[in-house]
Amino acid sequence: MRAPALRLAAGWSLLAAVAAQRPLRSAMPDDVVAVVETDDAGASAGRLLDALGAVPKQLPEAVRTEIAVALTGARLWLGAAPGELGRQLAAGGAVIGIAPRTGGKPDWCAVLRPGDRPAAEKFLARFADRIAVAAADDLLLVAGSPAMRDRLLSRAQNGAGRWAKWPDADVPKAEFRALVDLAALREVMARSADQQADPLARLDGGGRWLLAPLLPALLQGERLCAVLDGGPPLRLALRATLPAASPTGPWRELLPKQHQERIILAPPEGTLAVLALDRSVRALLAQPKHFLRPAEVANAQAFLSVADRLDGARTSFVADLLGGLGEPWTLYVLRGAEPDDGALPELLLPSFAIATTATAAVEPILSRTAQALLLIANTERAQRRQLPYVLRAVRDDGDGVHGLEAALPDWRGPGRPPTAQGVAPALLFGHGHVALATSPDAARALLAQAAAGRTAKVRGDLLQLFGAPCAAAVDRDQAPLVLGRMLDEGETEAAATRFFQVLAALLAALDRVELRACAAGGATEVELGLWRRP
Amino acid sequence: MTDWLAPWEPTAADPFDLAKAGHLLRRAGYGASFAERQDLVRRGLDAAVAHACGDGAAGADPAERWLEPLLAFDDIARLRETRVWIALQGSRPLRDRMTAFWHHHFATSNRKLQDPRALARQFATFDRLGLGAFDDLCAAMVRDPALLRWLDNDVNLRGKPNENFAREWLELFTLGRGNYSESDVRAAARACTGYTVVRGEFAFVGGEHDRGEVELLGARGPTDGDELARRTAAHPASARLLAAKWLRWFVHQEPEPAWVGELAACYEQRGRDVGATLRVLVRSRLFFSPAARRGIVKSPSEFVLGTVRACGARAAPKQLASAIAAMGEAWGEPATVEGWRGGRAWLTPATWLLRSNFAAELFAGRLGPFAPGADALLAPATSRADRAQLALDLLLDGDCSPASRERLLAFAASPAADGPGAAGALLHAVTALPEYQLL
Repeated sequence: MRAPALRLAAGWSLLAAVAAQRPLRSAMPDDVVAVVETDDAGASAGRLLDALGAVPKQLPEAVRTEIAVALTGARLWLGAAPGELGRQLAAGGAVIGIAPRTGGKPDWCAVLRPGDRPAAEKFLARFADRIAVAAADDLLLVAGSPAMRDRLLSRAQNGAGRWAKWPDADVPKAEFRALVDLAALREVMARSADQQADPLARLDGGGRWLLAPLLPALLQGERLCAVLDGGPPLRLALRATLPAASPTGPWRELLPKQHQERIILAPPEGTLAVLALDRSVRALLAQPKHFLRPAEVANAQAFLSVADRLDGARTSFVADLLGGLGEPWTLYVLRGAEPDDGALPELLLPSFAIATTATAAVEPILSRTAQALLLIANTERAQRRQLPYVLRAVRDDGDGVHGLEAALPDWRGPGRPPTAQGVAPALLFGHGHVALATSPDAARALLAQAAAGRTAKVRGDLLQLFGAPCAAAVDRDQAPLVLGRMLDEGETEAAATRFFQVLAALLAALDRVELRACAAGGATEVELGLWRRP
Repeated sequence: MTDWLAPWEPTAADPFDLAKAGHLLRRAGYGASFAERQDLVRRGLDAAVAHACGDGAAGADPAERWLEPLLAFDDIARLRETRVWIALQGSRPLRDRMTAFWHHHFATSNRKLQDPRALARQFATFDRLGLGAFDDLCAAMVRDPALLRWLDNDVNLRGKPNENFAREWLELFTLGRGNYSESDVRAAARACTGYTVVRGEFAFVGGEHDRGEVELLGARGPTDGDELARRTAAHPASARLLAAKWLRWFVHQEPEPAWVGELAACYEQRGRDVGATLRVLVRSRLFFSPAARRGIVKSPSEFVLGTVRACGARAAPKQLASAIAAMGEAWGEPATVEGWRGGRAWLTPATWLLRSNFAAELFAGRLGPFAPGADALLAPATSRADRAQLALDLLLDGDCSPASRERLLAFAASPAADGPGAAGALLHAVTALPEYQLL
């Protein structure tokens, strides 16, 4: 029975814009700038929940209880399980649109094709004082205001608007899809008084180096498509499409191998994270004025004036040293090396290592530069009355690896060793590669991958996090991490401890997380994927 | 015991009220929230003093518990932030105040030391011994690696004495100027030869110790650093030096000479037990006398931590420590070996502006989390006048001059104290009053 509070507007026999062959978004009014759509809300919700899986057992009991209570509360409030409610409301598909309003709350509207119309109307009746609903054929038109509902009806009656023209080729198959008309959104934001200037302008040189090749595409793109897919893996992907002639600035010049697959060393066992950015440091430092602001140029030139002297006046840091290294580089984060004497620092940092290919000519330059840097570091340590790093030449003993390792003398107290005790820089060469790392073990592990030919293919930018090793690192260093969070955020010990317990539990439940980004041709794609551990 | 140090007994005409509870906790701690002050008034003076002294403090000592993780950072900023965090916990108010006192007293700077871990251990020594017998503290400090290196005693060798440590020990840490001679300095330096630091720990290198006969403070014979510590801690001049400093720290910037003599005698009578002496002081008529009220210019740490604690709020120690350092009290990096001048030197046009900016940013929530926020703190008051009174109660125990109250009420009635951010503006206005700059 229809709930009395739900007053449906008069329907009509045929919605011109929503003919069977057209997607539901065709009915969206022209002032809508973003839509979220699904082909079957019930099935999609079910698949997403399946992909998320059960609440990780490693979570603290209190957190698991809170989640259970929240889920039960949500189910009671909804009146059905999320999958079942999705089926009732929109088994035949749904689209929700957002229309910004200058100086006010955004308005919204939705077109639903219910799987159980009486149940859907009963559910919507609970919000009758806050929403406006119209029925037409097998559809329910819902809006946040009567005016919005009327525009929805008007658009539907007057034929297809601009949402009917969104190219279907831009919309991949996925459980949920969000489409954003970036051009229209920018128009709205430009009218807003508190519109911020170009977000790129707020980033420093490093931030722009990281984000600039991708961010302009999102800022200047015409259309953005985001999809959430149950997978596996559970996947969130964004794709921005650029206009044909887009002023991207100089930053894309830093992408030396756009859209091409490249080979990197496969992460060794126990790797916490891999960061492979498709950027050229050499191009940036070769033309700082081309990329950086005047103040940043001065900093870069100050750095180069010192760097160019590290190996004597005849070696150019950019041309000779960076020029002898293959680009782009890959950064690996590996398990922290435990000191041989068994005295573990309270905070055991992971090992950081950069690996890339290297020419034979660059080896002596890198070795001399490393020795000069170590001399500077030891001078600073001496000024602090700290014992110096001891440099050791590593000779090839049959494994094809040679280079330099530096280590601090064994710790003899007082107390546990400082964090610095876990840092032992190494510069090792072998098998056509060079590895610069904060521990010899990390450098050797990477060169072992090179020796074994264990590689991986990458396109564009890649950030990989491996759940179990990251969880173990968080667990191991929990006390200093908790203290750091209490000091930085002002949290109580209980809250900070819980934060890292939850983080470690979530990481432990994941096999890996991958963030991939690629800018090529007329589109920029960003994709986030999560793989749960079996 | 004299009248000044006799226990103050509340009367109907002069009760232990919110203002006195606030006074006690501001001096013998870093302040207390409105609710905490109300609770202490309800429980009475003895319970309030016991609370300030940390009697029956529940749970593990946060300073002890977080020492190892702090050492892991090996970072002077983290050391400051941790001390701020410990002070904000407020479980051992007097202990935390005395740790700061001893840091001002045995002022050791990381600028030269470049060893935050050694300094963190020195703070731990103050935590452990700061309220015990001064003899024990001196015995620990004469072997403290941070202090020995800070004052060059690690290069004080037999035949090549370095007098830096010995001179400061006699002048600043124990006896005070005029209570020792130059030959005492030379003798003390020879006594401390061989007291050095090896791999971060105290080491006595016998081969570098001068075993010759010296005349130190009137006694002749071979001696060493430990004996120097014993003699100077027991010297009557040391009692007067400490008594004067404690009175300036807890009671009044310019203590009467008679107060100094009485407190020094009290200290001697209690076997040079710092905690027992201070317990007498903070319970005394002198401490609660009108002369002591609002008689000390707040240091940056007293201003910053006192503001947060008075609001009973949660804030980020990182931001607070940074603000305290910017105002001139960078813990771990005292201005000179004499520490900070303190008193009126804390207030300059520049530091006053920094205090005002800090309060504005804090109450506007721009210094990281500040919970409960300004709006929530003043929510119980309905009218503008009530809000002004509540702001005064929260931050000043309602205790200010009629002129200040009038100015605050006028501000509360102005358009500036209307709309979003009004509560923060009102609290900020209280912190800008002259009375609020005084402890």
